[in-house]
This record gives sequence, structure tokens and C-alpha cells, in this order.
Amino acid sequence: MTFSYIVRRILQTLPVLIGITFIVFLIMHLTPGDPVEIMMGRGSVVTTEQIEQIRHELGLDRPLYIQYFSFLGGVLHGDFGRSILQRAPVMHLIADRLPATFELTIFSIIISLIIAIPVGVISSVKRYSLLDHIGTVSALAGVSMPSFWLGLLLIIVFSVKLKILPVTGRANYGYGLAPITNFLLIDAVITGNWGALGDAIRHLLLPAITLGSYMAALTMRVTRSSMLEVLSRDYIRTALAKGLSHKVVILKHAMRNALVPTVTVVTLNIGILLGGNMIVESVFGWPGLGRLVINAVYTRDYPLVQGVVLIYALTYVVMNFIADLLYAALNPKVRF
Amino acid sequence: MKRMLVVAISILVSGLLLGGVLGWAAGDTLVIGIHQDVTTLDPGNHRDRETETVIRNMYDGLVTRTTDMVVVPQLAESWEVVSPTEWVFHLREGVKWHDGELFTAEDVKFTIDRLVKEGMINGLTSPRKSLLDPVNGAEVIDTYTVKLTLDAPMGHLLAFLPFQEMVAKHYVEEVGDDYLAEHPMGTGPFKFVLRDKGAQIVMERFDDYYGGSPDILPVGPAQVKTVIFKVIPETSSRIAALLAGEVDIIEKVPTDLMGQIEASSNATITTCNGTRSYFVELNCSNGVFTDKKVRQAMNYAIDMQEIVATFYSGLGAVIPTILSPNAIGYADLDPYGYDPNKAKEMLAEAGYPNGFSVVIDTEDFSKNVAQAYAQMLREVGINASVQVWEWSILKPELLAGKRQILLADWGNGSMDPQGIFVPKLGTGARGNYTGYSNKTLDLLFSLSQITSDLTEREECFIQGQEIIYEDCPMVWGYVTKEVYGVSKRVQNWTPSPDSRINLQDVSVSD
Repeated sequence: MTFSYIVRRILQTLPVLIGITFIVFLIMHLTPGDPVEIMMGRGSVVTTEQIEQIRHELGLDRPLYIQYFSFLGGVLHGDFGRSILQRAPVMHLIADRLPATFELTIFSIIISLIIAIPVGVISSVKRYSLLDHIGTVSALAGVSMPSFWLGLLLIIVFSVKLKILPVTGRANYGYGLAPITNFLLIDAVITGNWGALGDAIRHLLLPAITLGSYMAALTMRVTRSSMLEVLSRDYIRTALAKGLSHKVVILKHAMRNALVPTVTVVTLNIGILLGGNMIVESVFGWPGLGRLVINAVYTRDYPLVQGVVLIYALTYVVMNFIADLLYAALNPKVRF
Repeated sequence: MKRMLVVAISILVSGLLLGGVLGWAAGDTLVIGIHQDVTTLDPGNHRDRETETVIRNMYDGLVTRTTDMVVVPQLAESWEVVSPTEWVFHLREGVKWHDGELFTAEDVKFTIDRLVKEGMINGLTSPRKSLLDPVNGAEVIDTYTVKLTLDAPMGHLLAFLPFQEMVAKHYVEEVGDDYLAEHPMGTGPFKFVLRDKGAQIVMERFDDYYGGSPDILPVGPAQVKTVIFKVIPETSSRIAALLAGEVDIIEKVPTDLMGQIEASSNATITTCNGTRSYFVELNCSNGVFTDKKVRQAMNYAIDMQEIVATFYSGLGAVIPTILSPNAIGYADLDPYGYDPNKAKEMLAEAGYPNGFSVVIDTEDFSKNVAQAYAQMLREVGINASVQVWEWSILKPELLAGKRQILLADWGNGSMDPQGIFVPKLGTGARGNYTGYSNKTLDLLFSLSQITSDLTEREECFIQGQEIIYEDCPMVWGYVTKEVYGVSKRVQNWTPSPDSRINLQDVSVSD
């Protein structure tokens, strides 16, 4: 890993990000619908001239290429513009939602890995055992259940019937948690507010399980098959022949190598989870980026859509980069 | 790896154990489940109904409305129309802002100017400017008297004032527009505590509240200590939250899911007329519908009762013209009613014994209703088909008079005919897609704008409805009901036909 490699990677991402902003800009402006008319509402008290005046104030009457370069120029100065509908700086709106999205994503990944990796490993070691079969069936269920359906099912069981977990939101009012990072779990731990910590975890559980079920299923299957492959390798047989215990061989020799494909799947899926959790966010009233961008698309809030998509793209690129770094960490043969 | 697992699991378990009692709605807290987040907390910088619903609990206006849609004094004690373009408001004395300062005429002037003058909010013009058109500003007469000045008479001014909430001059000047949008400060019954964007807005009772409008009882501070508006976009989750006891009132319950709430032991359904009228627009400027007889026949050919029963589970009211029964100046005429034989006769008299062919234009969300209309029209011999459009493509075609039948609707939160009757049926008005033009009607509209006397205005609109009832530029439709799910612990809450949720007088019992 060299410094020049990192610089090269960062430079490579620039055209990707610019390309994405251009495509998103074009798609948004080609889609029928006018943000100002949507903001004012159909059948509302406003004349065409008044709508034109608002468009003019927002610069929406300028030629498209000027609007695009003005947006790009703003981004270079760290200014993403103002949301048309919410009329607040896009950066603020994104910053408000980002912690919620990351918290949910990271928590759901942790939950899914806690389940998936041990089950995947055990399934491979005890192939065709009862546990392996249960794992296979649950993986199939995890991949096939729509998150919308699973989410509502969990709500009905744990919130409506058992009344042990909340239906919606990220935290209940009344725990007096002082916002520091806006990651509630971190803030609660820093300030020692254990009530708020429990509250935040209870709010996280159902959406995280819903969001993580697909990921858990996928990881479980990938871990199982790559473990099976590794377990049949010569060096495993050699290690066992040396008289090492099964436990050491599996945990130290086999798992480390078998985890390379798992790392790929997990890191790439983090990008997908970040961008694809608007359904889970809607079902659980989770105040994340997904809902923000969906509403922005519906209302043709161009600056907001562009801002959020840029953040998504950036995260995806960074995740790819991290995946590459992890390969090297897990497998010394990989060098950049 | 192993250590990570142990740490993660122990965090999980400790979190759950340490959590203690769940924060379900408690005795002095009222929780409302709304379907979308507010766009801002600045009352001058939005055009959004949901935002108004939330904000109106922290801010008061010069006037407000009862649930019967009567405009009554709030921050203004009285008013007089000095001339058609000058309205003087006498303000209530001793009203306090949430920061303890006194509310004065300077604040009213500041608020009105901020709404109607250009570039007043972060250099941009308020999107609410057109709601107060033609108000051009305000003048302070003395500490508790303020004059609104207009470019032209505006008979409907009072109907558009209840939702222009007053902001504090000293506060906005000190903190700026962006801060105001996140930290509202008003004179309302509740003061702002916090907002988790996309999740909840929390308010607490303002103990120094002056009591609100003397015409809405009880007068005094709010009943509950804390109000939380929770944003729950997914309908099924909103219902689940109500059934789980996590929220007390939910809005926008679809008629097909009402049964879940009715079957539960802790919540009920409450309905009231909504603000939106539904109708079928006929092209009066060219084609078959230039003949009044054909337009009247169309009104007999469609069974609106059946439409309401089928598509809205009966939760709607068939209306004789375009106005909601809750609107001011509503004329109590008999709806045309379904009479296919009469429709056929009238079509024959008009020279169409074998009917004609026509396309019903609609958007995707109402295509099923359009299909039902087409079926009913075919039964009286009109060969009707349905075409689904994207609105931005359809609108210019409509304005050019190129289409024949449009399935349409129009919301009117002001409950004043000025918000629906005039823009839909005035000659060349902005929402007039029928091309309908009637000089007498236009004259009545002009009269209604010149006078500020409510009775005179109502008379203008009643006469106007009699004209359009006869002329039938549309097939008159229905207003649908807004459906709310309400916990049985909620006391003294009545839904409002303008769909706002005002909580000052609401209490909860355990």
C-alpha cells in the first residue's frame, strides 16, 4: 500500500462523482413536473406570474447548463444550495439525517454478522447437519421476505401484541439526551445516559433486524460456501495433520481466508443498505436519508436530490476503497 | 472477533435491561401521528398543510376559525374596514410571546410585510405572498392598532387570515430566518421544545398563554402538558402505533383499513368532511358539450352516490355544485341525482339519440373512478373511453381547450368560495379548464371581492351557485371525508373540515 496508490484512487473517484451528478441532474430535469408548482400545491391560490417569479428567484428559469455548472461550482465551495421545498441549506438537511441512517445501517450489519458468520461457519463444518438445514431455510427466508412485509410483521408481534418494542421513531422524548455526535448510541454512552441508551437500542432493534435480514442471509451463504472451499484445501489438511486442534484450524487458518469473499459482500452491501433502506425507514418512521431523498424526488427538489445522491455515491466509493484495504489486511499476498 | 461478539452482545442486553419503562403516551402527554414531516417551522416560508397543522399549535393568528369554519378573533380583538383597501385591526393587550416579551402592532406589521413584500426571507419572497394578494403591507397606528393596506379590495381577506401566523419582530431580527425555521417562537398555547427532523416535533404547554380566542371554549392554557407530533409515513405503521397505544390521534386512515381500528378496544374512528371537491369538467368552449342540454344530461347519467359508496366506502357527501357543505355561502340545492332514462331523453332532444364518442382524461391515481364513469356513460349510449395522462403534459392541452372531459378535483383549505369557485369558474381564471364563461357570474365574483360584508358575499355566491347549477359546466361530484383514528383516552377533540389539528382544548384520561 503506497501513498501514490491512495492518491491515485482518490483522483479516480472524481470523474465518477462528477459523472453521477451530471446523470442525476439530467434525469431529474427530464422528468416531468415542476418543483415550484408542486411546492405551491395543485389548485392553490397562486397565479402563473407568481409561480414564474418564484422560479426566477430560485434560478430555475436559467438554461440547464448554467444551472448545472452553478450547482457544480457551489459543490466545489462546499455549498450544495438550498432545498426548494424546505428552503433550508441542503448540507444542514443531510447532516441532520446522516447519523440516523449510518446508525441504523451499522447496527443492522452488526446484528446480521453476529448471526451470519457463526452460523455460516458452523454450517460448513457440520455440513448437512440439522443446524445446516435450519441455516439454509432461514437464509432462503431472509433473502425472499420483502422488508416491507417483515417489518410490519415484527411490528404486529413485538409492538401491537407484546407491547415490548416501539413501532416508530428513533428515540422517545423525555430521556434528556444531549446531542453531541447525533449518533444516539454514542451520545448516550459518552454522557452515561443509560436510559437513553436502552431507549435507542429498543428503537433500533426492529428496523435493524428488518434491514439486516437480507444481509444476514447473504453473508451466511457466502461464508458457508467459502468456508467449504477453504476447508478442502491442502494447508488445512496439513494443519490438522500437524496435530493442531480443530478449533484452532477453523478459527485461525480457515476463517481468515474464507472471510475475504464475505468482506467483499459486506462492504459492497453497506452501500446498498445505505441507499436502499427507504422502505424500512418508511415502515418504522426512521428519520434517515432514504426518506429525505424519496420525498425530494417526489417534489422534484433538485438541489436536495443532487446533494443526497452525491453523498450516497461518495459513501459507495469510500466503501469500495475500504474493501480493498481489508483484502490486504486479511491476505498479505494482496498488495497494491 | 470473539471479544467483539461479547462486547456487542453485552451492549445489546444491557441496553434492553437498563431501558426501564417504555415511553408510551402518558397522562399529560398527547401524541399525534402525522403522515409526513413539516417542511419548515417558519410560518412564513411554506405552502404545506401538514406544516400548518403542526405550527398552528405554537403560533396564533390575528383571527382563527371554529370547527364550524366561522372566522373568530384571536390575537385581534376586533377589526373594521375603513375603506375597501384599508383594514384596521385592534389587538389584544397583554399577550406574551413565549420569551415573555409583549405582542404589539410592530410584530403584526413585521409579519405581514415579511409575507407580502419581495425578498424578505433570506432574500427570497415568501411562498405565502399569493395567499394575501392584494395586501401590500401594514402600518402601525399605535402599540395595539395596525392597518393592513391593499392594492385592491379583498372581500375574502378574513378567510385567508387564520393561517397567517404572527412572528415576533424582536426575535426574528435577532436570530435570523434560518434559526427561526428550526426554533419557532410564537404566542400559541404550546411552546417549542425540540424537533428530530423526520421523526418528531415536541412542544410543551405555555403557562402564560392568554387563553386564545374567546369564541372557542374553554379559554385558557392548554389542557395537556406535552404534545408530540410523530412522523409516521407508512399507513399500516400509523395504525399499528395507534393500536399499540404509542400515539393518540392518527390522520389519513384509508377507508379499507378502518375496520382494524373499529375492531380494537382502545381506539375509534372519527370523520369529517375534507377540503377537496371532486367533479368532472366538461369542455364548454367547443365540441358536444357547448350544448347545455348535453351537459345537464351528463349530470343525470353518472351515479355519484354509487361512486362514493364503491370507492370511498360511503365516506363522502354528494354535492349540488362545486362547494363543500362546510364552505361559506353554500347553497343548499338538490344534487341532480342518477336518472339514466332522463339522460337518454335529454341527449335525444339535444340531437344525439345514438350518443357520441368521447374520451375521459384522468391521471393515474383516479383511473379506476374514470373507468366507472365511462361504464355509466356507455349505459346511456355515450361511447366513453379513458385516457391516463401525466399532469404536466395534460395541463397545456386543457388550457388550449383541446380536451373534452376531465376527471378533476380541487382542494380549498380556506373554505371560502374565493379559493375554489372563482379560480375554477371565473372567465379565464387560472384553474378554469372548462372554458366556461358567464358574465353574470363574473359580475357576482367582482361584487364578492369588493364587499367585505359576509352576508353580502354569501348572497353573491349563492346566486352564483344557482347559475352554475343550471348551466352545468361540470358534472357535479362529491367531497370525501377525512378519516382519523382516535384513542379512547382523548377527550374534547373534534376534527376540523380544514384538516388542521388544534390541540389547545384537548385532554387525555387514563
